[in-house]
Amino acid sequence: MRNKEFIFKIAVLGSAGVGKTSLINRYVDRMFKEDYKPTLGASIIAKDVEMTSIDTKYIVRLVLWDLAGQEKYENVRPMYFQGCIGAILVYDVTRTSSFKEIKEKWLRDFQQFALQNSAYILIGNKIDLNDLRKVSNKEGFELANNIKACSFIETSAKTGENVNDCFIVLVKEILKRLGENI
Amino acid sequence: MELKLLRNNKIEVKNIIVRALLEALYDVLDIDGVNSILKYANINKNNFKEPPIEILNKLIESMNILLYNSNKVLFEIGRKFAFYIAPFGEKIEDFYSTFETNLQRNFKINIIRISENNVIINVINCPFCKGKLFFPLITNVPLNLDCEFYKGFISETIKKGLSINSDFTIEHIEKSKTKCSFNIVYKNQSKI
Repeated sequence: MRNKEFIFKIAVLGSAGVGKTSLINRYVDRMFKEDYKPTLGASIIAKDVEMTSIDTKYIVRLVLWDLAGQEKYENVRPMYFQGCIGAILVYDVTRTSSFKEIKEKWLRDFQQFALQNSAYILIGNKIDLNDLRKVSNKEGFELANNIKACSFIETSAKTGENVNDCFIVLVKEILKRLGENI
Repeated sequence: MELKLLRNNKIEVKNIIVRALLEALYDVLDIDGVNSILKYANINKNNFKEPPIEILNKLIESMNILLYNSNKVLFEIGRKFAFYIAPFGEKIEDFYSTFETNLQRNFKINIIRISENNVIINVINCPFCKGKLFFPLITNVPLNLDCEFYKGFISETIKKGLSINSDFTIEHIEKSKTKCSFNIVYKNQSKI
């Protein structure tokens, strides 16, 4: 078995309050905080991930950029996007506006400034609040197809449901785009 | 450790280089960005009693990991860093001498004037290169990174030094473990 190592800069994007920081905290630290504290600027976290194929062990260092969703950061955000090879586009299934902004705002900005062959995944978060749901699973799939996202997953940062999957699916897709057989 | 403790003078950071770097990080990445760098560097308020070079090395290692592939961000941090090192600096040498005298190590910046519109800046034993050249997970794969941080730093010092808006290019022409060289070419006639 041979070893290969990579570093991927990945942006986590979406409107304020959709749960970007909570998704990262759940994935990296396996924890969830009920209180909402808006991200100011960019919170950056590194996490090493190991994956294996038939003959190769991949060690990938993810550098996750949790970007503030507020409007006041619009001017500096393009600078943060530069060098990203992947993105996690997050909306809140209980807020239609956050769903609309994926295509109208976040994807457009990301594609303008990120690396050309970058991959992105669409995430509908907060499925633990199913009673308050405003965006259906079907609408999520349709948008993912429409924007050519590599996958669509619904998650709950609160319960941890599907959170790991969204990061792993994205990393595998990026490795494939780099010509790896995984 | 939160940066607001620094800003409210609840933690005293006497070394001008460390303080300038923290202020530059704050300007570009805001509070959560600075705290990310500090957290990865494992720096808390007690660490600020350590020798400045130790703190600086920790900050740089953290920046090298977390700001990987973020050249524009690094350039901007370098530019702001130069400003905070010598806010009232007028000559290029003001910035570099402040930098040298506040770091107790064998660190030197030489300015070589090649011609009227061409300058080469040699950075010897640069603290910002420490740990920068290799990706240390398992195989020490060379990253071959460009030093955008220094380009930003040099860019700001040149603009201040000239006191005019002159177009110039900065090229990283030599990189080794002990020495980096930057070639600066002015499009207009140089006044340095």
